[in-house]
Amino acid sequence: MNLSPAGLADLDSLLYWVATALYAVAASLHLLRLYFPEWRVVAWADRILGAALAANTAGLLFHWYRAGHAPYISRLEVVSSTVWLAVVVFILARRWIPDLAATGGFLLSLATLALGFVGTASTTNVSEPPLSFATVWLGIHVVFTQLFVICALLASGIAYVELTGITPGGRLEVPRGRAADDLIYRLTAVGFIFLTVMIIAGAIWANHAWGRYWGWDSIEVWSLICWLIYALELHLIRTFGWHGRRLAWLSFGALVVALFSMFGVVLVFPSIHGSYMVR
Amino acid sequence: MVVNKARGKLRTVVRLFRSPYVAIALIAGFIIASSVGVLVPQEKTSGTAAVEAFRKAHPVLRPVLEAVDAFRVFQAPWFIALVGLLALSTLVCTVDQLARARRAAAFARSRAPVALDSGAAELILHGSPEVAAPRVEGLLRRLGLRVWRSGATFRAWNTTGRWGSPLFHFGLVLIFGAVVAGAALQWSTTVVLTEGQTFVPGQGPPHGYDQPWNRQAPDPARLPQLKLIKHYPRYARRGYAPDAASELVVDGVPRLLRWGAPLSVRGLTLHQGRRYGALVEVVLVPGGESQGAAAQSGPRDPGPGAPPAFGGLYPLPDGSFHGGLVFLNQQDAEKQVRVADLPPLRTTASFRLVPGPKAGRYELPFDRRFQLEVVVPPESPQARPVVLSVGESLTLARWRLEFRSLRYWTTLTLSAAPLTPLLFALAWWCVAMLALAALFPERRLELVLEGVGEGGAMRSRVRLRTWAGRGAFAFPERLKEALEGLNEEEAKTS
Repeated sequence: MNLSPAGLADLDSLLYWVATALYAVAASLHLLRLYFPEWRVVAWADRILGAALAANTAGLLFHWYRAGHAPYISRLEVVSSTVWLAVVVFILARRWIPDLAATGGFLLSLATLALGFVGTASTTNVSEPPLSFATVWLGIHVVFTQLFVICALLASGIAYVELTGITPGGRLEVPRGRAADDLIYRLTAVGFIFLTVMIIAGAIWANHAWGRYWGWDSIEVWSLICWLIYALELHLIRTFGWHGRRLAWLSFGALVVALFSMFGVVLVFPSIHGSYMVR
Repeated sequence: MVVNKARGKLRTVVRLFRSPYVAIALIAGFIIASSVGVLVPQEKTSGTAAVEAFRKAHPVLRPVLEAVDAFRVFQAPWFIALVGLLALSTLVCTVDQLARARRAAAFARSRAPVALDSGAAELILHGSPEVAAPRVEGLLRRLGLRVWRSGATFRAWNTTGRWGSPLFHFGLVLIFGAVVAGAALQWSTTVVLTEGQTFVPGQGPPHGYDQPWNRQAPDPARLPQLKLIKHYPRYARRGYAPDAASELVVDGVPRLLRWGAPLSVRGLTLHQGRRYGALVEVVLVPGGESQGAAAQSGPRDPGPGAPPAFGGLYPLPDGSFHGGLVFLNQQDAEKQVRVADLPPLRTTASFRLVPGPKAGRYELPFDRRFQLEVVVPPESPQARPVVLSVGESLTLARWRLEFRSLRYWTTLTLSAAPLTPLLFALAWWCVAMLALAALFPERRLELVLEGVGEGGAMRSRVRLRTWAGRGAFAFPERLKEALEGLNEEEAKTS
């Protein structure tokens, strides 16, 4: 094996793309399980997902070793670690909430798309983190961002199942009606808490890095917009009783805002936050 | 009469702000206004150059945007008014929600007889009411409800989470107030220092001081004396880049100020600024000989409070030309290239600051770790880059370019925000109340057991009415399933 820096970078890329490919297969099998639960191949869905997670874990650990810092600097690192955490949360959460198993196809499809897009637009290059990243509050900020995105994805996964009206049968439980509304509300509420903590931790980090808690920067404003959108969603559920398909579409719309706020703003608008993210 | 009219108007205003439609409209308005603030470059964050470029690129939109203060959205009076209305709406809703939470708690404490009409849900349990009642009570307690029972009549509830939402909104109202009060009380000032320079409060103005709410100048007695020294024999260590840090003498005490590690000084917070770099002093001397003022060796003190000066080379009375080139270094960005006119040579030269052979040896003085790369255009005899250390010179035609000195400069920010701890305490309070509301959704029920049948075949008819808050939509169905499960348990045990 070529252990030169170029060789290590190639191995890093290889692990990344192996994980992406396995996630793609797992996503397909989870979607097939929703529509064709009687096919024997769908029994492999969880095993392939396990293999994808293992490859993702190996890739992240190797990259961590190579870079000398946790995976939270470049876009590729952030997306890869978010997908890893999302899959871990999905696997653990469906033990307690079996209804969440139905969201696997949706979640893994989006994860594969994200990994593929970022993988083609970025490299596995490593860089030393700027000094402004040397604070625990950044770690808290990133983790709670990821947890919020995961909650938003799971809520939208339930919404997807609700909108498509799938009834797979077999052992897969699909939430319906009030149970689905309940789950969407609870995931949104918990995600809102994570989002609030993310904003608070981000403000503390911003003060460490730039000497001010809030500067109306693009990404800060968009995170506030995202917070307000989710506040609006919770108001519409609690006060106006939105449920069913209307709630499902609302959940999708909020997810689009969330993903744009977290990952898209730095691509479109100039931001002090984005200037630190290595491509 | 006047008082009644005023009361009537007040009631109308309260009714208006109590409306969830108004709250949602205000939130939506805030979202739209914030979106404008992101789509249109803002003077404060993007700078005047970006704003001017946008104005030129959109001549049709320009008058509309200027009329609504779109280039200063977050400081515009209408935006501040919108935030104020949102705060008012939140306050009114909070008071309303607190009243409802008290009523829900009052229900829980009520010992009035339970009377359920025929509209209540029904199901049948095995055994007489006297037999079924303890099992039902046990089940309700296992579901996390508090239970009041009188014979075969039950009230059960969990209204803890009911308080979460109003207390969260109450926290938001306090945050609004703390932000306004904090803005009036806080201030910050920026000091620009070069190596060896001392900031003495009261002598020379600090730079960049601007507070929209509080135009009062900071009390000089509160400001510390700051002297910048850029030498790290004590602080040099592996994995640490002190070029983004300042060694200061603060009120006579040596302190290290690093990124992400602000210092507390006299109750103020001292931050290492984002803008820092190197000030290079170069001199162009005629005939290759140092003359007059330009012959002085060693760096010149630019004076207290004076910012680094950038520009081309300026003539001195002795015929030499002198210039200070300011290099800006943000985090790990490349040193910028500076182009300066060389008037006597009628050409330009580009200057770049590069790490020297001893760049990583942080125990050395700053000026020994960097070098100056000079490139003069091809029409000059010297057409290749030349690297100079401090004290070295370069011959250009009948002139000599001397690299006189290299000094570190930085911006330092002194600030005071006395209400910040309160703001963060309120923010964490809001998070805790959100968790309370989300994790403990309100559930209430009234339940009556009525005997049906006779003797050993007696059963209990359950009349049940439930109330479930958001997040507990499925509670009624789950409760019925659980009650029916009691029959299965009974069948198993018998």
